[in-house]
Amino acid sequence: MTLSAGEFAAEPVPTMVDEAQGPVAGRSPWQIARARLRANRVAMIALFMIIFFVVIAIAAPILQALGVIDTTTLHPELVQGPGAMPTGSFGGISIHHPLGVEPQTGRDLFSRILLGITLDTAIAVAATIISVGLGVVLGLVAGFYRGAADWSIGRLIDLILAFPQLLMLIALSPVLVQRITDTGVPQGNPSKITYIIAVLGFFGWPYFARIIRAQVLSLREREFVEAAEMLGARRSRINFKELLPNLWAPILVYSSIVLPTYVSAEAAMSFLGVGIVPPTPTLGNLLQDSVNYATADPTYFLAPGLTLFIVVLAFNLFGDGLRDALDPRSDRAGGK
Amino acid sequence: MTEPLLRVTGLRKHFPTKGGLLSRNRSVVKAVDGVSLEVAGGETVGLVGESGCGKSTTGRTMLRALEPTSGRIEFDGRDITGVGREELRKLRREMQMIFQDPFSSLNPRHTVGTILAAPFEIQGIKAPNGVKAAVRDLLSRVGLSPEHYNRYPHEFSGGQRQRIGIARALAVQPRLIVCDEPVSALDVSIQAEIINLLQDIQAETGIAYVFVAHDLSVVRHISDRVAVMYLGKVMESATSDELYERPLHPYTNALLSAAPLPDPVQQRAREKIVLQGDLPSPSDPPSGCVFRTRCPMAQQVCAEVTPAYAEHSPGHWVACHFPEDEQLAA
Repeated sequence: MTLSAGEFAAEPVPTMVDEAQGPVAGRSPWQIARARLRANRVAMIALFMIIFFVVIAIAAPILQALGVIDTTTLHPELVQGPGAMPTGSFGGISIHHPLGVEPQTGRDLFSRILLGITLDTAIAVAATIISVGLGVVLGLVAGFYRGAADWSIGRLIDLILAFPQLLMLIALSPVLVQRITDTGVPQGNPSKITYIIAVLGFFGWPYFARIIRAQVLSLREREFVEAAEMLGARRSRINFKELLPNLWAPILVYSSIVLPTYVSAEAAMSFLGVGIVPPTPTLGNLLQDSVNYATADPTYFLAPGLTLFIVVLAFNLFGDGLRDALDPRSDRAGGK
Repeated sequence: MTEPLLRVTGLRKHFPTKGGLLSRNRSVVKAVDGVSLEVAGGETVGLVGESGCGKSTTGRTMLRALEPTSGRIEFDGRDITGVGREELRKLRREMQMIFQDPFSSLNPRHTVGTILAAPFEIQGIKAPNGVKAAVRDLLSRVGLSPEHYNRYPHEFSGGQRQRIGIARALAVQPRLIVCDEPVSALDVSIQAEIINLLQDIQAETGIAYVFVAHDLSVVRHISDRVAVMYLGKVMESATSDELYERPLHPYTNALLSAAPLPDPVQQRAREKIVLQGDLPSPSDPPSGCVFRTRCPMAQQVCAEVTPAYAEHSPGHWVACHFPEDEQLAA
């Protein structure tokens, strides 16, 4: 045996520090993702559109209060004929009513779409927060503690996913909305909004909990978690300081992907008649009403329809861009 | 040698393997099956063996990162086998670990500053000039620039990351560090740097290492004593020179003959012992001596009687019915 002990005498080693870089400023994973996102033109355009819609969503109630837009005043003088169709071409477009007026009532369509965006985004954001919040907490618990907690949460997810959502939405809506009213929420639309948010949030979390659970299962086997345990870190610290920062990417990506589905889900529910009813405008109930006049007054149908389409498209494109930026190894980024 | 820093007696770690929901046959993987080991203050004990022999599990269990199934762990003369979670938290200031994979042992979302400040926060250690100064000091001790404070792990090479891992373990000023294959994920040239760094730190602070590795020459270079493991059991242990010059156990012999020699002439002339067969399943180890299924000199008795782990010559322990030198003498 001549394993010489000198084998491991190191050769002269280049200095570990790269002197040429000057003052060292670290680029965080976030900064790198942001740079990547900035380079993605489609995502940036989508982002500007989202910002545009968010500004509208915030501004619309203020403008309404200031009297700049007016969603409720009836203009019987602007509709005519047996169907009470808007006077003038393209649904009665004029300087005062840039997108025309509603048939029958003569309410200003532009104002109603703006406020509809507010309500739709508010509902979608609230439902997203609920479903993502529930998903993160339950997914983290299931993945981190495993065992009985994982099993119960897993079966609960199975149960919820096996449940006929749409049926329940429609069939149980009167009963449950009444329940919500009984707890003190004002009757009518406020109760219905609460119901929609609750239903969307409740049925939305299982998918996300599964994603988070899978992430946590793989993360907790990484040695940095063991290193934290080895240093004597408590479980809460490991969950919130070690694991959670690694979950922000899926949280953001998932949120940006479910948010537009909630916008269209609200529209679908209003369309099916379990949603918010006029005079409170939403894109959904505008669409539902407009279908009756689709041939006679296409502007009334196209304006909210296109708005909904653009909102959902902007969020989806941005979500895709966000995913590519945060997870560059995902196949879509590689396969373009 | 007075009271050792760490004494492990009859340590066992069994992992139950679960069948499916409906299956009943549960078996037990005996990852560590009766390991006894002593580590004196300031010394380095190497733990070698092939993949799956339980050496990493032994390292983790002796720090109680894993709960031992049975056995006794004494640290500094105190039985720590059953101490509660809070006590264990305090003990983490005395015993630390360096991990194998420098790419997964550092949280990718934390800066180096955050990673190295964590030990101070978790253990509530007051640094005289503030935590930031202490972290910068740690960075320079492991050969990194204090300027790296705000950088993220992904901006470092494997060797640099391993230095950060070492700095993290050193932050609490422990007396014992279990190094779990700390260089096996690194390039050979970088391995030497890290080994030298570990040795420098030991010379400076008198820290004790348990050095888990499968690379025999690395272990020989750094270790004062070496224990050879096979299938959850220690086969042989001795001072490293003794073990490498006069191996007694046929398994040690086979391992040593598998390591290439730097001199090609010697390498060609050497008799090679190639082990036949695969490593038996640790859930169903062979009867008697666990190595007998692959041992070139196995006899009937090896299947019937488990060889005692006994001191063959002073400081040289071996678990074999037919230690090599007796073979030669016969």
